[in-house]
This record gives sequence, C-alpha cells and structure tokens, in this order.
Amino acid sequence: MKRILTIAALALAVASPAFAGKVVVAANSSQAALDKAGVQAIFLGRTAQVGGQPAVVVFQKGPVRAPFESGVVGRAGAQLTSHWSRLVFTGRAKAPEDLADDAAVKAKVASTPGAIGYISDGAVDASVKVLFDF
Amino acid sequence: MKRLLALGILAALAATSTAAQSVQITGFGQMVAGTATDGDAFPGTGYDGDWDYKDESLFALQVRGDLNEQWSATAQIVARGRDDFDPEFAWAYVGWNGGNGWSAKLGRQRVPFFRYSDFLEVGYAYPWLRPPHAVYNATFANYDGASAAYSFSSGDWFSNIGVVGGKNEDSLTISNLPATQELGSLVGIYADTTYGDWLTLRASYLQADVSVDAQAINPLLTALRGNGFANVAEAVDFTEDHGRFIGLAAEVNKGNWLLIGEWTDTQIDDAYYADRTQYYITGGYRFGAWMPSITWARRDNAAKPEIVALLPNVAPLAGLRAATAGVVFSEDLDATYWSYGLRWDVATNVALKADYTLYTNDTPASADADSLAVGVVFTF
Repeated sequence: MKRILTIAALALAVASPAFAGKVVVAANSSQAALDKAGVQAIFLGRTAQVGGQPAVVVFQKGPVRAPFESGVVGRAGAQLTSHWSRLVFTGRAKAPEDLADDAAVKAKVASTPGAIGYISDGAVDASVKVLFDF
Repeated sequence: MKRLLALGILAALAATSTAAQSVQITGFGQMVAGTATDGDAFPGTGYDGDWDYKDESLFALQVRGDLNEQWSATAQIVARGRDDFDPEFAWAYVGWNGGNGWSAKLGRQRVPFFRYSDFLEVGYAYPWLRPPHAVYNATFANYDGASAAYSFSSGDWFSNIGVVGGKNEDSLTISNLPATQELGSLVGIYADTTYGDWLTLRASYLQADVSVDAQAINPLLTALRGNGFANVAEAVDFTEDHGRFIGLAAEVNKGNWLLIGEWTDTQIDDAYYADRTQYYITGGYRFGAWMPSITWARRDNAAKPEIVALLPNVAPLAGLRAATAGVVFSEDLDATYWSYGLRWDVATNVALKADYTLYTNDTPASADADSLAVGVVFTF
C-alpha cells in the first residue's frame, strides 16, 4: 500500500505542472535571459550583479523551492546553506533573502533593482520579466 | 570595557537596521560538550577528564551595512566560551566591490592560511566538529590590513585570486606563561579554483617578520647573552625573523562523496621554531542528512639541533646547553590523529555533530590522548 502511494506520489510529482517555475527579475530590469549556468552562478553567489545592479538573491520557501534547488542550482537544503554561509561570513557575498512564497518574491523582485528570484509558472504576471524556465 | 564597546556598536547597528533596509544581521554559533576520554589534556582544546561545555562553544553576530552600491562595512563579533564569552571582533572591515569580479577589504580580516581559514568558526560550513587540529593550529587567525581579490569564470572553472598585506599583534601563552607576538610586513597571495562545482583546488603563500616576547624564554636569552653567547640567543629568539607559510589543498565533493586533503609547511629562520610539515586527509560519505567521515592527520615538526651545537660542549656550559636544548627540543613533534566524525543535518540551518579523535604522539616524554565531543551548530 505504502509502495503504491509512493509511486502515485512520484508520478504526480513528475506529471504535475505546478512544480514548474520561472526565474524572474523586475519587468524593467535590463538583465538579459540566462542559461542554466548563468542562473547557477547567481544563486551560488558567484555573480555579483544582475542587470547592472548589485545582486539581491531571493530564495523562497514555497513548493517551487525543491525543484529549483535540486534541478537548477544543483545544491539543496543544508548543502546550499553551508555554501552560502561560506560566502556570507567571509564577505564574499551578501546574504540572500529567504521569503515565504511566490507573492512575496514577486513583490520584492518587482520593487528592488538587482533583485532576482524564482516563482511558480502560475504566478508570473506583468510585474516581472522571465529570464529562465525550469 | 572591550565587551561594552562591542555590545554598544552592535546595539547601535541593530538600531539602525530598523531604519535602513540596507543593514543585514546574520549569525552563527555552536554549543559543544567535550572531554578527554583518555589522557590529561587534549591538544587544541581545553579538555581534561571532566566534561566541558564552554571550550569549543561560541556565538557570533555579523552586521553588514551597505554604504552605497560599491562600498559596505562589516563587523563580525565572536564570543567564545574559551574566553568566557567575552566578545571580540573577528572581522571588522570596509569592503569595496568594484564589479567584474574585483573586490577589496580594508580592516581586520582572516589570514588566508588554509582552505577553511575564512570560515574557521562557522561550524555549519564544514563537515567536522572542528577543523583538523594537526593543520589548524596557528596561534593567530586575524590580521589588520588590506586585501584585494579578483574572481572570474572561464568555462567550467570559477577562480579566485587574492593578495593580502598587514600585520598581526597578539598575546598568547608559551609554557603557561604570557607572551606577545608581532607579525610585521605580513604579505601573502592565495588562489582557489572550482571546477564543475565538484573539484576545488587551493594554494597559498604568506610571509612575515616574526617577533615574539615570551616570559618563558627570556631567562634563557638573558643567561646566553650574559655568558657571551649573543649569537645563540639570536638563533633562539624571534626578532623580526623571516617566516614563511605554504599551503596546498584539494577538495572533491561529488555525488555523495567528500574528500578533502590539505598540506602545509611553515618555517621561521633564526628562531627556535621547528620546521613544521602538517597535513590531513578526510573522507566522508553522505547518507541523506547524515555524513560520517574519517580524518587522518599528521604533525611532523623537526626541531633545530644546530642551535644547541652553537654552544661548546664543555662541562662549565652543561647547564646552559641543557636549558637551550630543553627549549629547542620542546618543538619536536611526531604526532598522528585519527578522527571519526558524524554530522547530521537536522534542518537547513541546524546540524548536530560528533567527533571522536585518537591522538598519538611519538615524541619522547609526551602523552597520547583521546577526546569525545558532541555539539549543535547553527546559522541564521
């Protein structure tokens, strides 16, 4: 029974479009579209600028987090925190923000020059510009 | 007074943060309980036969204020249980970020000796309960001065190269007596590179003019000079003597495997400081949130018998020779560490760690010891 549930959950996770997302910046940002490596560089703190402004990296706690961290960034959870702690406590990068959900990320990104975040597909609207699709 | 000052600055910065969004407060820390399960003392810790809850515990706050798009000011204040939680500035600098990978810092910062120097006390950033003491045993970690760095990507490589310059003045303990050290004209260069996000290589070179004033050594120096052996006193004493450090490190973090190796070589000319070759290898494997690891480490410190040989081997000088030899050969070390570590990530910013280390010292007249320590590390 448990196995069937697990398989069903897996199938749902694979099929469900709710887990797809977009990397976004403010609609008026001059930042050009990114490839996966470009997104990784920013979310691993290696690129200090977004659209010519100091980067403000925004993570979020919503369901889109897991597919973004493991599928795009390549590090997740504790390993990602560990990576960022090495940058923040040595002054190599400014600490990223960790917001609650799509709405909070959208509001932050739309109002902050240099801010970059990720949201679920369904949350995309005219206030943001899509740089990468995952 | 120092504590009041540190707290005052923190409070002032914290108060500003409510007004300005450009101030960030982050922090980290660890609470560790440890004991020497065998032996009277364990190297690199204050552990004896009793359980200790303070020695490796610490709490740190970092406040960063952005002055404008390029300039920021950062203070990291660390309160260590070892110092009775008396807060001290581990970092205090003005930073410049020029874009295109260029950056610079002016103020107090870490000496970039080792792979993990910059985040020495950020337990969340490394797999062990403590960085291997065989290598991480420098008597100081900070300098006051300037640094500049350039980072760049090329293909799958992401690289960092930096230069530092400044000085360090610190107090320390030699043979249980107070001493002061000064490292003047401290300059260094380091480079690290990461390939494909799984292989990291690092090299560093530092040099300085080292002076030490130690109460434990001064009587010997006085006796040597009084007997007409100023040359021997000079060979023992640290008087702006040239010291140099070389460090090499490699780290593989691929799939569930973690391999870290680090090798260091330290020499100080014209002083009784032994030539030190120290290294370790760590292997670990990640089982989900659990990461057990094993570390093998060595300290191979060769004392300088040629200093003792400067004194004629005649009966009237036997006492002076014995005293000189005592100081010189106290630097001999032939020690091995086997560490068994476990890290358990209980949350994305909290981890539990345990370490059991067996220390064997093959230097004559020195003691072996084992230690057990467990702790919780966190970052926010």
